[in-house]
Amino acid sequence: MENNMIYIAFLCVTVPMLFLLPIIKDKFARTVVGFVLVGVLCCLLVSEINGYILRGLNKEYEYVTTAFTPITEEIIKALPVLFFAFVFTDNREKLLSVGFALGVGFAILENIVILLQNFSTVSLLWALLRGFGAALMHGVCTGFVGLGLHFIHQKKKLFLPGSFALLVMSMTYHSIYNTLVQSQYKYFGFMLPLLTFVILFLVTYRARQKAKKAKVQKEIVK
Amino acid sequence: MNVAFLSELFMLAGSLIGFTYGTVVFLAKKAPLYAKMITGAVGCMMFGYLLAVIRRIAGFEGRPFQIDYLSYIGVFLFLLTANVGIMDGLADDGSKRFGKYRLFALAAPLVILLALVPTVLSSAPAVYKVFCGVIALFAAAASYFNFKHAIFPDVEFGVIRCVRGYNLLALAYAVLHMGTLAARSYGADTAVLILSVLTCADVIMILPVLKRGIERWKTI
Repeated sequence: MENNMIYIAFLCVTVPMLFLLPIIKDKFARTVVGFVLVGVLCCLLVSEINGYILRGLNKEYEYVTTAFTPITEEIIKALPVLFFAFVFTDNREKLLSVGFALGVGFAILENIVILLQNFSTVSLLWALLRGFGAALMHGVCTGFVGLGLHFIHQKKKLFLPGSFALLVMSMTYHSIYNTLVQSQYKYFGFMLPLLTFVILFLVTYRARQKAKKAKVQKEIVK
Repeated sequence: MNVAFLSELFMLAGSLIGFTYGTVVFLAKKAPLYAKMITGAVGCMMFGYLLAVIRRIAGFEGRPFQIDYLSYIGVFLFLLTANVGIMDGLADDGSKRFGKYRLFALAAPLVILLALVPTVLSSAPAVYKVFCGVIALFAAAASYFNFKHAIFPDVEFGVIRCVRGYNLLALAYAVLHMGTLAARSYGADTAVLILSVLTCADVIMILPVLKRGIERWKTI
């Protein structure tokens, strides 16, 4: 990501959203939008770090994107979610939502910058593949970390090694995606986050239905 | 198909079967956090082997550092976290009467670290050796608790006694993994293949054996 384009894109995305924040009435909805913004900021930070790595490794794009950028990106994306889990809540739904929002925010800026860099070659298919592939992958990875944090938050002893283990899992998933999309099997790569999202959605939907059922039964007993 | 690729496929198949079983039996249902953490370890294993296979298919090989090294650390971290964070406090109160078991359990990390020696002495790249060393540290820590829980008398609650089978299988996984890393550093493909078949069988058995042990908790 060369020149000032990423900063211009960053300002274009964040400033209007910053004005949106105080208007939103619901506290948790505000938190989710806030995390989208944090995700955008994370992308800005990561782009600088990745730039240094790419230059350090003689611009070996394939090696850097399969072995190093998943590490930097997942660490930077997970830090705000870890902070949120550690300080504010261990609620499963909330952690999943803020994690996913952060990942999506990250993907928004990443997509804009890649679009600006390849303006003359992009197509509708490109947009669909980026939207369903990379954007969803970022959301799924950070959402998964958030979901996992709910479980390891239950015991203090689990927090540090458990967080690292979750991080490693999301890095590996990210690397699988990056490897696939750069190979001749790139369409499998684009399908991977979509498939994972469907599973994640079904699990969340089932949990919500169960919680709803339990609430109704509680009210009946009352 | 070359032997190294075949061995990676074996390990991927084993971990995929294990993770699918764990997802259905533990993750999708209300299950103890302990079982969920161990399913996480098998999941991490599966992702690591999947990445190795995909990289080979894509032709992105021959690089000194790859993320699957980290996923092997993740596997042992999940195993370690499950035992230290959830189970260890239930059996070991830290008193002197269990001192001999704690001491005897040190044999497992010792074996793991000894298994690292051939890798260090090989002509493998330095980065590979360093990562094998880091993996060995986490494997040693996890295997200490696996072995300790396999031999611990667990007189008060009997919770750990029920999962002895699982702990022995997890210990076997650590030993097999270190063996595989050592065999790889010498390019001993046949040894890698044999070890991968054993790893595959071990990983398939881990979660069903754990389930059987957890079911016995209800009868205590």
